[in-house]
This record gives sequence, C-alpha cells and structure tokens, in this order.
Amino acid sequence: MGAKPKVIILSGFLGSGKTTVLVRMIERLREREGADFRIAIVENEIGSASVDSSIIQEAGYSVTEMLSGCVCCTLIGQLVPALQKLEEELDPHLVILEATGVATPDSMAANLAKYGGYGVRIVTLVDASRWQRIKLALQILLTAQVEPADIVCVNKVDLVEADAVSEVDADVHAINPDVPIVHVNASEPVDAALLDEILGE
Amino acid sequence: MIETHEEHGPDCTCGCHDHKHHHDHDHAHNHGHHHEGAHERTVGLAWADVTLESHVHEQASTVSATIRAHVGSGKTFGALVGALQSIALQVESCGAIVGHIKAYARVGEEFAHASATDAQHEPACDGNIELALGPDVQCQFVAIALLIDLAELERIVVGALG
Repeated sequence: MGAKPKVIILSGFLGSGKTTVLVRMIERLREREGADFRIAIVENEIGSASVDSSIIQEAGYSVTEMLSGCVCCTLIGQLVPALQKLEEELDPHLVILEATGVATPDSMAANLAKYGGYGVRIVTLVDASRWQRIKLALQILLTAQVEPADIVCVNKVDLVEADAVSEVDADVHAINPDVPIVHVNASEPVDAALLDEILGE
Repeated sequence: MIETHEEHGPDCTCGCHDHKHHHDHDHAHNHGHHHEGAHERTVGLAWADVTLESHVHEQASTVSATIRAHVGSGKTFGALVGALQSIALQVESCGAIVGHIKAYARVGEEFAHASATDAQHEPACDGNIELALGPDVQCQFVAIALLIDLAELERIVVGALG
C-alpha cells in the first residue's frame, strides 16, 4: 500500500451541484494524471437509494455507497473503517467523499484526521441560483457548511446576474472571512486552473 | 391503491403517521443530529409497485422509491420527469423548500436521469427520457424536502407517481 490518500470532502446543500462538479473533476483528473491515477469515490446519501451513485457509474467510475444516514452524525463511526477498507482494496491516490446535502463537514474532517490520520480538504459548494431563497431559512446548516470550508465554490453563476453573485460572495465571506472563493458555471467543465484551486495545489 | 405494511399489520394502532405504520428510532448523536421515523412500505399503483423508504434526517424529510413497473405499463421516463415537476410545485406551495428530487432508470445500455431543485426551472435531464418503463427497468426516485412533514411529503410523492 502506498502513501495515505488525501481526502476531499465535497460538501454543500442539496442541489448545489456536488455530483456534477465531482464527475467533471474526475474527468479532468483522469486527463491530467492518466489512467493509473486511482480515485476512490464515496457517496453518502441520507436516502436508502443513491441516484447520484448511478449517475457517477454512468460516467464510468465505481462508487462506494454509504446510505440511509449521514457520515457527519449517524454513520460517523463507519467512515474511517470504510476508507481503510478502500485503502486496502484500491490503494487510491485520492479519495473524494461526496457528503449528503445536510451534512456538516467539520465533524467528518475531524474524525478522519483524528482516527484515520488522513489529510482532509473541505470543498463546499453553494448554489448561487438558490442562495437568496434558502439563506435565511437554512442559515444554521449553510453556516455550518461554509464556516469550516478550505475553499468555497459558488456554483451556477451563469444562471444569475453578476450582482447576485457578488452578494453570495459577500455572505460567504461574512461567515468565513479568509476562505478562497471560486466561481463555477453550471454548464461548463472544470478547467485545469479551477481543479488546482479545488484540490489546493 | 394497495398498501403493504411490512412490519405493522393492518390493525396496527400505533398512531404514528397517517398510515399507522412506523419503525421509529430516534438516535441522539454527538452533536445533536437526528435520524428518525424510518419506515418502509410498498404501494401498488395502477402501473407499478413502488417500495417507499421514508425518514427524517435533521429537518430533511426523505422519501426514496424503488419502482417496478408492470408489463405494458404505458409509462415512459418522461412521466417521472412530470412527477418531479409536480412534487417541486406542491412542496413549494406548502411553503417548504425542495432539497432535491431525482429520478433514474436503466435497462441494458439505455438510461435516463432527471433532477429538480425548485419549481421555477425545468428539471435537468440526461439520457433517453422516452425510455419505456417495464419490470426489467431498474428505476429509482428520491425526494428530499425541508420544512415539510414526512407524511405530507410521502403523500405528495405517491400522488405524483400515481
């Protein structure tokens, strides 16, 4: 087994575009690193079925599913063992964990670091097209997703006016003042520069 | 519509939810998260048998459906896209927030999927939405909404699929 893989936690509210960005990231990574670069994908869903896993599998990638609960709380005890099993079976260079849309990533990151010794990067997506509608009603959850983020991807910026994007940026920085923010289009692939920023490279 | 309760019989008087069926486990977790009210049942629609698994996680009511369409159901995946739109509209009409609503179907090399996050936009679709739904088609449907009672979301989902 090689070095311990880096873990990317892909966090963000339901519908923020995590699965789409995940697939585009993997496509770009495969292009850049080649087929020998092993990526393990973990899909966590609060439901008993994962449509997202099916979508990722359609794109040609295998997925480890953790269903019917959230690895930030109800399934947290299963997270490190699941990743250790993946290490034994796949020896991945990178693990991407797509969190549920109601997950708070800080507890996941702490658990992975403390009990698994993993280096973790929290990437939080926010949906620019729905931010104004949900930001007050779901303030506690959204704050808990943005606050511990190492980078925030403001997604679907092509679906709203520039002023609305600026408001989202300001709200994000009010929660997490120093976090880098990148803008992502709903309809465009993740380019190399964006991938580097997401991965922290 | 025929309902089959897998854990509670038709005479159950537990009183939980409007369909008198529950498997309730209210976990208390290290930072106050809850996953409760989980239950499963099968609903017989005119065109399909639908196995529903429902629960509340935090504020999120979650209904997952595995759909097994009858032979010659006459339904295509497009009908599920219509159900997505209908659910989004009804959820928002209640003052609730759509988390996401997703549908997926596959048979052989053919697949289709669709998702919606609100009622203002057309669902995003990929694959063949004309895919005919039959018993050989693997078909899943998930609706997650916040600020809505679980039983109400389940009623909306079953109504839209029916």
